[in-house]
Amino acid sequence: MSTVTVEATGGATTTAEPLLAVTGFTKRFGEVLANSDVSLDVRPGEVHALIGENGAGKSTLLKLVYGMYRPDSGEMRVAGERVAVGSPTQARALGIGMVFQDLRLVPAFTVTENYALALARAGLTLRQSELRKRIAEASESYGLAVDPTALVRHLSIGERQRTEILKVLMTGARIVILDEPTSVLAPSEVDALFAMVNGLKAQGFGVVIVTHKLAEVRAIADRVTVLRGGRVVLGGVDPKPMTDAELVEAMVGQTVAPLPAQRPTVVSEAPPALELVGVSAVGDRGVTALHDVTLTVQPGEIVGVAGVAGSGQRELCEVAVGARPASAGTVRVSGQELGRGGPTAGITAGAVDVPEDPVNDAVVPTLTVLEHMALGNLRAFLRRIGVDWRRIGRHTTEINDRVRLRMAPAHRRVADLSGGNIQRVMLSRALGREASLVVAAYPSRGLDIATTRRTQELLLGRRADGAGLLVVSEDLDELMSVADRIAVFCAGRLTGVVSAAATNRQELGALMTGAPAPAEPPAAAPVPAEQVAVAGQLADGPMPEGGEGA
Amino acid sequence: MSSLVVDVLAGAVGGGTAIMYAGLGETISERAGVINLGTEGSMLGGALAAYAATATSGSPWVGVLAGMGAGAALAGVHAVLVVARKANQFASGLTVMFFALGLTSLFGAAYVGRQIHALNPWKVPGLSAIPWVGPILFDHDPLTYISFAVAPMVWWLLYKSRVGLLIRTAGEHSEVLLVHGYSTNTVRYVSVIAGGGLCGLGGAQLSIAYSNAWFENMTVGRGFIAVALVIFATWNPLRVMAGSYLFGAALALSPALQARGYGINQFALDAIPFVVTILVLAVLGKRTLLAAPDELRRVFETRAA
Repeated sequence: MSTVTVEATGGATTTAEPLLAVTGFTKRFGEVLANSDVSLDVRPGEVHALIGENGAGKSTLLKLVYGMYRPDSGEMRVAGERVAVGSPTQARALGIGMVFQDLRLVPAFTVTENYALALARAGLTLRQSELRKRIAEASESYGLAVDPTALVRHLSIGERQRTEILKVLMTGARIVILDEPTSVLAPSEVDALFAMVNGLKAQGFGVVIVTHKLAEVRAIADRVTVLRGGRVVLGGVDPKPMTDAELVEAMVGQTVAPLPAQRPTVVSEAPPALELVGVSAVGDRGVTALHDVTLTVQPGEIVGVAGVAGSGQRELCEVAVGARPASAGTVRVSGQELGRGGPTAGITAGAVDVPEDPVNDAVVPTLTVLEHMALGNLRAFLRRIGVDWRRIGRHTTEINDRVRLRMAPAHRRVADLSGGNIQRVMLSRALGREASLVVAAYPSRGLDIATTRRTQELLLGRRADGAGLLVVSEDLDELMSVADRIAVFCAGRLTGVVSAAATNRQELGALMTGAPAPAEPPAAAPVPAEQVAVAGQLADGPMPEGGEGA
Repeated sequence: MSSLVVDVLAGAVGGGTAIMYAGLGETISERAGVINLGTEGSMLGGALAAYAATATSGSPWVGVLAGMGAGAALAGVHAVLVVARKANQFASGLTVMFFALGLTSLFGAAYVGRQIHALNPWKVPGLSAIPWVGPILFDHDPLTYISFAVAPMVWWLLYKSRVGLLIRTAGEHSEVLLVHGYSTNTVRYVSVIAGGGLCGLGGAQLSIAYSNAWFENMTVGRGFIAVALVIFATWNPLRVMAGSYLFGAALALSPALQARGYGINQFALDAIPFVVTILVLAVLGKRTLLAAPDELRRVFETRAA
């Protein structure tokens, strides 16, 4: 089963019989029409990108194809044969393989044990040595390096993805569906994934890839299908002749205006919003994660933070708001030294933050949205020994009207919200109140294009109000369009601070890998924004998509 | 002195066997993601059922089967509550334990003091003559000899068999079972009930092989010791085996000292196994939890579906 038939045709222009053809899928959940007359076809040797905003119906379509839902109407053909798929097991038997966003591997097991769950369907024992041999052979023949004896827990996310893809191939898949595979990867791992996907394509597999990033569509897809509101807006078209703006318009349903190109210079008498002098900090693993960082954020300035994941961004953000003590150096927010005062000192000095990992760091799942709004600034809402809930309610409504991030209703429990909706609560709370320093880690994570754009406008609004902002993002296009200056980190050290207007991806990439820093340009210069700033980073983030049922 | 050591070690093996069976049963259950605090109840049910069936039928092997059946049935109540009804595992386990305590007190009254044809110790010819080793390992009841094989078998089941992989997947990451077309509920039902059967076997060993008597609440906490034992044996059946002998020794110390006329307070001696439990947990601390099946951490999570 590990031999591969390479289709003679290959490439995007093949006219071979589609491996998979969905016609007119319709699926209704109560009042919601999740998929309406959706069609999709995948040919051998092509990569078909499926893109759309949150709630566009992508997840529903995948679940229909993989037999997790049944369509109300519509038909599906696999290699020309009409099929009805009632379960994932049937889908696999038909050669449809799905690599889920959250990867269905058991971390405590070895690779072989994980494969046994999919492959050893009968018999008393697992015959692990035989299975190990088969994995090694398949690994060789598909060119996917997988160590059968490794514990999954010890593998990086990229390695786990490769392990999952090889498993899917070994179960006999001809069509490989990748559900937002890049949302959990570091940039270097994305390149490795795409090399792998191109390998599959060359071997005649049909690949469906769900993504939110136009840059990725450009890099990998032969054809693209755009869903919006459960309907196909663009069905299987070649993305090459289209502009980014056209694709974004197809997804969002309206043109997205570029961010204002000219930024007013904000004149302020106030002390620097954030001043780090020779700051070091120890990470959660007890190792110094931030080394001797000196960085200033002026009022009315946005400083972007770039770096490979785990380069000290988390520690930087936490130190800046007082949530993590500095092991050396001085931290000042609006001229007040935080010392060892903890988060309270940071809040008192005027710092607010959007944490890197809200689900684990900033959210109490059983509390409501309203209670979270109160928790952000409880001291302001105390009435004698009680809490003035009515005032918090008014305050929340007022923020909602002003911030316009479409936050979930105030009575909803946060545990029931999707990642994107939790992010909206965090952003509304942080950007809806007065602050001299805003520290925002991955602000657009989990958000669709329209909300991402609104968030960027809010960040610029805070800048115009005279706040200093520190914005961490893995998306260089976002940083270059929003920030005035970009501070680049590599392995916990500041390797350079560059003007966002003057820099480019090559320079940032070099700094991210530790190349020497150029001289620092003057701060707070007016910076022209990129044209369609949002286009490159349709980040839906690694969090689950909301509003499509589960 | 040397005879005291031999007595304690022999008692460790014979007296630890009931804890071992219960510990192995609990290991299977927890590996599948279900904590069963009803082990004590399954042991009591098994002890009484075995005793009563032996008294009625005259055959201790009928008693062994009855004991396993009773233990499995009580675990089945727990399984229905937590697997099908998604009730809280701790509340359900404790309820089943008290239910069994009351039930066995009620129906066991008639068997207190009754004589049975028990499973007597049997010296293995030749081997039992070896100094030290012989009396410690080869002068026991048949259920103890069987337990020497059962612990490695449970280990093989969990780590080498296909069913074991499904059990461990249910305990580590149950969604993965669903994706591969298996039913988590089925796997958990089977695991909890089979685990209860082993607890019942432990109870049977206690009543019809080790003490040859039935009296109210005769397990006196062995089931709970087994739950603690599983944790610090890091859910590994072979370590459960070793740990059960440690507790067996703690239990055997009291009668061995008394037989030699040492004037040590009876209640102080009875506390030894629990003092050992406290010490072991204090020493191991957080380390044991790192090895815990992931699903056990989610016991308090409410999940949709």
